[in-house]
Amino acid sequence: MARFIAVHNVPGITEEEFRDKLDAVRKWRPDRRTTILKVYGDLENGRLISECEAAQQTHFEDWLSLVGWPAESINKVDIICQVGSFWKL
Amino acid sequence: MTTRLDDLLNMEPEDIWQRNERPDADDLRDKAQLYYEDVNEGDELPKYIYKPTPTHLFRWSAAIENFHRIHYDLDFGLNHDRNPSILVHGSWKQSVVPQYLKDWTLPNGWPWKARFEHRAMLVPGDVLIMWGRVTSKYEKAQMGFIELEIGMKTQDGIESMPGTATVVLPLRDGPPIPYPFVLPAD
Repeated sequence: MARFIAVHNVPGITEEEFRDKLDAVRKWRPDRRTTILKVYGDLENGRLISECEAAQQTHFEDWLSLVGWPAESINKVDIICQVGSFWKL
Repeated sequence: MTTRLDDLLNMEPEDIWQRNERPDADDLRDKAQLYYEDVNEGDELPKYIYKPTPTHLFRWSAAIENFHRIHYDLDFGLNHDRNPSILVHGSWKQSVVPQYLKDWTLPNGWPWKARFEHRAMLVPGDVLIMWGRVTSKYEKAQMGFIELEIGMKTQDGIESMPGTATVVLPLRDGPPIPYPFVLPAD
């Protein structure tokens, strides 16, 4: 499995739309090979950052197509520092 | 009459939860004996529905002193073991089986033996269905033996714990099942 992070520009997205799209992801998993770990939203400026664990980038891209949030960039994550702990992926 | 497994698997998770047939303590205390003659091949056992949460998993870890972090530390589970979330304990699933069989055979039957495999990873948010189905029955030494297929399916129909079990029920006009149960000689 691999970790991916995407940056999106979704001008005009509302909180309701944000919630609807993510509520549709049951248990944060569009399927058993893909887990949507976290989505940060700056709704005021229409900017989103999403984080996904998947076997292949295409699995993440399938979900992005489904929700209709085009990605400006998708990057594979090598390392994370989270509240003081380093996780090398 | 239990809800059929196939029907449950066509429902939304919240509707599955509404069909939980797990008895409470009073139900079990007052339970009428199920007899061998009451059971037919193809019968389905009551469905026990579970919705494990992180709190349940943490409590189970503490109760059995299994402090493997994949069961309660989300960061560790995601970033170290690369699991989809914290994982439901196999030992918890294992504890459900004897309880399930005991409840069905109470008060005077005997859940004799069970075997099963742990397969799919289960996570908080899953709705789990403990199920059983009668595959055959036979009499021996004035006791009723019931063979079962058992398992624990997710709301998506994934079988996480396929197995089989044998329970012993009294005959309507038969002697009580000995306690403890000993397999009669051929």
